[in-house]
Amino acid sequence: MTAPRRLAFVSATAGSAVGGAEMALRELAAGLAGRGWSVDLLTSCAEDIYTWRNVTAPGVTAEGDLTVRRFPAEGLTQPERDRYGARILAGETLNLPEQYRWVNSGMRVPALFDYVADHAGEYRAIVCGPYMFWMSLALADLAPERTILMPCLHDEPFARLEVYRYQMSKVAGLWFLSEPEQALAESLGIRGRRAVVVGSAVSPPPAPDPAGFRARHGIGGPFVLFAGRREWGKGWPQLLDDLAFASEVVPDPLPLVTCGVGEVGAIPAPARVIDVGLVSEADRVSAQAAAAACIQPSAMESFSRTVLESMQVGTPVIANDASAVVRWHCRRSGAGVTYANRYEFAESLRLLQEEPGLFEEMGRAGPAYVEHDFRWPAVVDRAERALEEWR
Amino acid sequence: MKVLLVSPYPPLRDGLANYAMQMAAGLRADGDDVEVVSPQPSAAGSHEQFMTLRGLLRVARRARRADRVVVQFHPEIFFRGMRLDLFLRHYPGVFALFRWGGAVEVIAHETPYSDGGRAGAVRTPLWRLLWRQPAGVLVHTEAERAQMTSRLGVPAGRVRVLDHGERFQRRTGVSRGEARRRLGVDPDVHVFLAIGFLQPHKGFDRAARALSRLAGDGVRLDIVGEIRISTPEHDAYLHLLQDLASRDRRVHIHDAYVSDEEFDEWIVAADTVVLPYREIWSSGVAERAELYDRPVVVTDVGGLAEQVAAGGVVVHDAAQLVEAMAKLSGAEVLPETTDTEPGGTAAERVAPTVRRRAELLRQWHDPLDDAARPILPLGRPPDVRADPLALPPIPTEPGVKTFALRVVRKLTGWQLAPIVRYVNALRAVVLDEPGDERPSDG
Repeated sequence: MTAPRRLAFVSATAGSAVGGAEMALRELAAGLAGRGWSVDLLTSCAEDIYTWRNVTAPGVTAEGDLTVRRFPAEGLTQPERDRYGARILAGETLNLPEQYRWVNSGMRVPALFDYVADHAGEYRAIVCGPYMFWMSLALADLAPERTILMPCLHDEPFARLEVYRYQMSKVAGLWFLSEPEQALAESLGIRGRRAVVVGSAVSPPPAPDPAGFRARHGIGGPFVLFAGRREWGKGWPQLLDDLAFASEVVPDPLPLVTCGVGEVGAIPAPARVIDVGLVSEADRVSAQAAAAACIQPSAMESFSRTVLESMQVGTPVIANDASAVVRWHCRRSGAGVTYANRYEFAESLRLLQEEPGLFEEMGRAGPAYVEHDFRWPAVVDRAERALEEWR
Repeated sequence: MKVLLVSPYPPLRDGLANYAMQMAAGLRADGDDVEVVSPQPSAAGSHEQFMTLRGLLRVARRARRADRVVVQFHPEIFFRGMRLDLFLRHYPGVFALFRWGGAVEVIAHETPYSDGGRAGAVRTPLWRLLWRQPAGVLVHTEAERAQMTSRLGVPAGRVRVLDHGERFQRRTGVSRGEARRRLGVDPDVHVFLAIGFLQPHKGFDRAARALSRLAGDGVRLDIVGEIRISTPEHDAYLHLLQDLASRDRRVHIHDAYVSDEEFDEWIVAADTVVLPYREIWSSGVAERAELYDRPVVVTDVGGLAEQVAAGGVVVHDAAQLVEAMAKLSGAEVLPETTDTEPGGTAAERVAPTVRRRAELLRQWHDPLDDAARPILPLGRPPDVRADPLALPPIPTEPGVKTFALRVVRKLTGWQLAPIVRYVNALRAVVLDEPGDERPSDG
């Protein structure tokens, strides 16, 4: 029997490590729990989105206001998934069985599936995301009438697959993180049975300690920062490529400091990159505050927490113009500039060096922008309103 | 001394052919008995197929009878392309010539010092092996010499820096005034000359844009040459040059073949030769300019700076090119357009400034680069491979079907297995290195 104020949030990881979508789900879940909802976070025992290795014991734990139920992840080897993935990325049309083969050849959480199959009726709504998470697709068949999907959509070939169009049309509703994400969905012909921009947010940062960050990592002069996953999908190899070009054409450009997970890989000469590895949240915030600018090279963002995290500490952003939502953030806030090609990237770095005052002035526009539009209480308000209206 | 020269040879519109011709003349002047073998019918004594094993073995056999063998090496002469299958097909012949051709000296005009990608990983050791075979390697600059030893492992003692112009002879005796009269050029203006095949890497567009930053009618730029091979890229480049010329009447494009004599007349007519190359190892044009004591403005690429050490100005960017041309011609420089946008908020000033400057940067680096395209993740995601081809598995359960399949496999496997291996080898190459054609420097 459905409890009137009981919710499930279904996420690939518990959201305490890397992964913007997972963090956003967890924070929203916590926000609703803080308002008196009974919220279960249903997730896997994995934390590492590369290996999906189970690192936490399965079972139920109370974590703050949340009840976290963990289930073992399976299907940890991915060669077949990658082969199908390559075909999708190459623009090949996979038939429906092949699409399902692809979906099912990656990480799966069968015990979570069984749990939801047995208990879905106990929840007023089941919120899941992002759209490519295996369980998000499974829920479209398991409990479509109560599933709310946060797609975390970006413009990529996977978003055009028939399986996901089916998923997004079948679930009870879609919660988008931003207007550009909703616009993208509509441009793809995805409207959902119901849809609303619930948004997302970042929490106020701990007090940054830029001097401490510099001292801890031995970083003296000004630098630009990339904080995030050093991986293909986040534009890391492209950033290195662009940085190498910029380093050829801009005399002695600022070095790039990077923190986060993923292999840094070979640094193409003459780019200067300083890797400080995976750091604590406090250290990351300090790095963002210490940076002359933060770089967001990803073309595939549905919200971009890192951009907002930089803005909220007053650091300007230099971001890939190919990401609609990041472009949207930069234009609305006045706290960032986007680059559409390597030349603009290089010239952004040059101008940053020549006229740091201009960038500092841009950066000062950031905190108010974040404070006004991207704090959790407003997001939780919108989520609660949707939950009430969609009953 | 009997010298065999292995090279393209005139009549041919080709810099190497001209180079070889002058070298042959110089050697003959030194008293050598020079025989030339070219890759196609020419003024050379004989010709052989340079892209077949049989042809190069015949060249090697002839070479062994010479006291000295000079091979002009440019990849396009010996390889139909750098795609791995083509490279492997042509490699044995080149190796045979270098290895068994007797006292072979190779003049390296364009050498793949760095060769990337997975196919590059196959080619690189083969290049290293190849370049260690000749008795001597001749390069044009110290920079190339360093590459030859460090990247290709040729012992330093075997690499000699050749004076690019050591065999160059004057091909005209006209005065500047006469040259200008013949070419229809105003006698009183400062003439900047960019001459050679019209290709993006020559950077003649840089010279045109730089000239447009100079004030007054006392300067002009003549871009002289033709498209070597009509390709979409080369055609687009010619259109770009024509477009630039249409915007500044002081820029003149002479898109036509020029004879050797006319080539030198242009140099004599010029006040300054401008070679703002994007990439090159060495320049015959610079040598010819030096032959006539014409100052040269070059970019700092390859061995150019070293090549023009005494009689040249080396620039590193568009601003320096403008400055050098202004200084040499005495023209004033028009106001800079890279200043930070005035007025507005910081964001309103930063973005347009970045865009405007980026456009200038794109023009300097790669004017044909489609800068409008979005920056998407580079290449393919890691660990992504298409399925390799495999023969269908034979079931292990005993039975008539399994037995029949085994018999069929026995009868056909010896034919099918090599095909599968070959297809998979091609697949590996195609997957890992699409479109591996290097631009040529003619």
